[in-house]
Amino acid sequence: MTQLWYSELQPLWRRELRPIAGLTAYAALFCLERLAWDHGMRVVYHGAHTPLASGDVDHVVHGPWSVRHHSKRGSRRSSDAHREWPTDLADRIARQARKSGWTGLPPALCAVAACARTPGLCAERSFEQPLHSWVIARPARHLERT
Amino acid sequence: MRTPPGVSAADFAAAIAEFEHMVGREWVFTSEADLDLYKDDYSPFLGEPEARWASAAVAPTTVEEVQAIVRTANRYKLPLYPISTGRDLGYGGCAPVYSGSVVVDLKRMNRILEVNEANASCLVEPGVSYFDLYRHIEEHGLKVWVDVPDPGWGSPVGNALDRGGGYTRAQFRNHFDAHCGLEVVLPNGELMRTGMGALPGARTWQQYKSGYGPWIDGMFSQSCYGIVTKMGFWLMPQPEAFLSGTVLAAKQEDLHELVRVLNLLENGGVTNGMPDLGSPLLGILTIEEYARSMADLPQPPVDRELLALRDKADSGGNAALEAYGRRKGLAYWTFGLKFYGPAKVVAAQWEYSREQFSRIAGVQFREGPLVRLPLTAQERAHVHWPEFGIPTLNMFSIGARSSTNPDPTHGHMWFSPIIPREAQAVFEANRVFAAAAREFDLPVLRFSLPSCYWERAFIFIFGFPVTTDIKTNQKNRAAFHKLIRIAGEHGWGEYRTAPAFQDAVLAEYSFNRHALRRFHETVKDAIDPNGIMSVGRYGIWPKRLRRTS
Repeated sequence: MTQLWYSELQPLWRRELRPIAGLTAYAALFCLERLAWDHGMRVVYHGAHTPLASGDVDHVVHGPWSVRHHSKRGSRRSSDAHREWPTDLADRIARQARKSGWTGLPPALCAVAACARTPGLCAERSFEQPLHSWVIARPARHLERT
Repeated sequence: MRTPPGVSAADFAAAIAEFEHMVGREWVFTSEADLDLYKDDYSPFLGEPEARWASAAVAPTTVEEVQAIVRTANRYKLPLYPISTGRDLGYGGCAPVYSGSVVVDLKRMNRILEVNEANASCLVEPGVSYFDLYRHIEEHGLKVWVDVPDPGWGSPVGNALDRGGGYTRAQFRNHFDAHCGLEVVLPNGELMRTGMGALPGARTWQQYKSGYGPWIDGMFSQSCYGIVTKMGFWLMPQPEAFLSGTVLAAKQEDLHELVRVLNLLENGGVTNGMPDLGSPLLGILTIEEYARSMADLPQPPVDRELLALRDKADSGGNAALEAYGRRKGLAYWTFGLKFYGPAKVVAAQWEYSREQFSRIAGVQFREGPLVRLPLTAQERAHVHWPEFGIPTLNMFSIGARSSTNPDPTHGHMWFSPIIPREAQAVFEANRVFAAAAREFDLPVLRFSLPSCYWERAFIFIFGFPVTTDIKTNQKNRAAFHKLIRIAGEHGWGEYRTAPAFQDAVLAEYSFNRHALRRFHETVKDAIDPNGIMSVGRYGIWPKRLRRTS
């Protein structure tokens, strides 16, 4: 985290307040959001991906509707494709960002979480702790007030 | 939108509109998503109605905006809660003590106004972070260090005002002691400067601390008397070299002489870095060892016999543990000494220190490499950065999930009493706290060693876990309250605590029928008659809330 801050984020956010996205443990997300808030940015999309003893993974997603919609569809994909889910999710988020940016999202669409379960996703114990996908950006407060 | 207690919805809306006019709509926060960022992430009231909340937050950029905010708050009797960058994890975070307060978030006041290399001082605004100041120093090639806490992501102003500590030379690692001059917006909106800053035209604001007359700077630390908008600090001139040496002693009773000699050396300025106490036999890591453990490398297994002996050593050990140490060549105590200065001087200081400790029978020494400063990239990879004035976030890896910590807690609240700088007090405090832990069924407290952040006194820092289970948190809060009382009965008081316990801690500072609290309340009523500023902070309440607090 310290290395990321010194080498990437601090120089980046001095030049321009650009959104960042990632798939990390909660501790990293916690630090990043606090650092981002110093610059007026915060989490605008958040997905928690919790491995279960059965090998399934629970997803709880807060964020723009289109990302949640895609995530739910993704839960029905084949087990092979599931192994690629971090890349897949990142791709969906990036597409959404390109499409509309992370500002200007109506808050009503962000307020309701979507839940899904992916059977057998971590059957090979590819990860043992909850992971968090997230996007940190400047929110659109003028819309949140509505 | 939730309104502050006692403020009508119409008045609150009018105040918010005025704030928006002052700082721009973008920098007034009222949405739930934004205000979530002003909760205490480590709140011991997680999921309970007592969890502190902010009704709004406003982020000004200038002193004039801060003054205008304060004047508006007075007009509407709106409680304000200023924060610098709002870290303070384990002591309340950025949440207001009094729920419903408007947080005055000073993060946008982030100008480094001066770093004076010749005077080894700086003048900064509250939103400047340690990272910012370190970067400024590096970019300008200045030969000064800023002492940083760990983690070092907060604000020098905020940390000093909460009386935080760091890791370098004593006069700098006491962050409030290292300050020199304040600028404060008072509760009536007036601007005041302390020390030589009160003298128009003086060029000595960051040179001479106390100015003239009663020195009131301390009243603005852990305070509810104003909003600090500028703060000067003395910085540490970059030393030529750093040397660390470790004293290893074999017997439990050696702690008495170790502490006595350490005090002699530190009070005399012979050892000037932060002493680092540990115990290989009791499994108490030094700060250096903690720093290494953060790399999450596989740890060597601990001998079962030693683990069993440790379990019976809550009052600091026994003859069997001592015998085990002799057999296995494990030290009972290690005292790490740190020296900053010219290479010849630090070598002489270490030599003199060894002479003094040599009076303890069987004592051994281990010398670290002499490090010429600044550090090379290779050296940086192997040191505890805060000891070299480099801010880092590595501390978070202690609490993160890892091979040695597979089930981390949600957070922690620090229980941190000040005790005398005597071995006897270390043993006594451990005995008392261990007995209390058993009585209250706490997962703590093994025998612990205190820290030496400040000269002349020890401080114990125990982390009480904050969990996601309400009943566990309730039990831990009750135990925390009892420990405050037990500590108070022994003359040990917290130096700082989370809002949940601030009233209880102040109640222990009760000499002469709480004369200190009554003095604070007299000042509070005089300078903040509307009771708007940092309501309830550190146990000081405005008149209108005193009976219910």
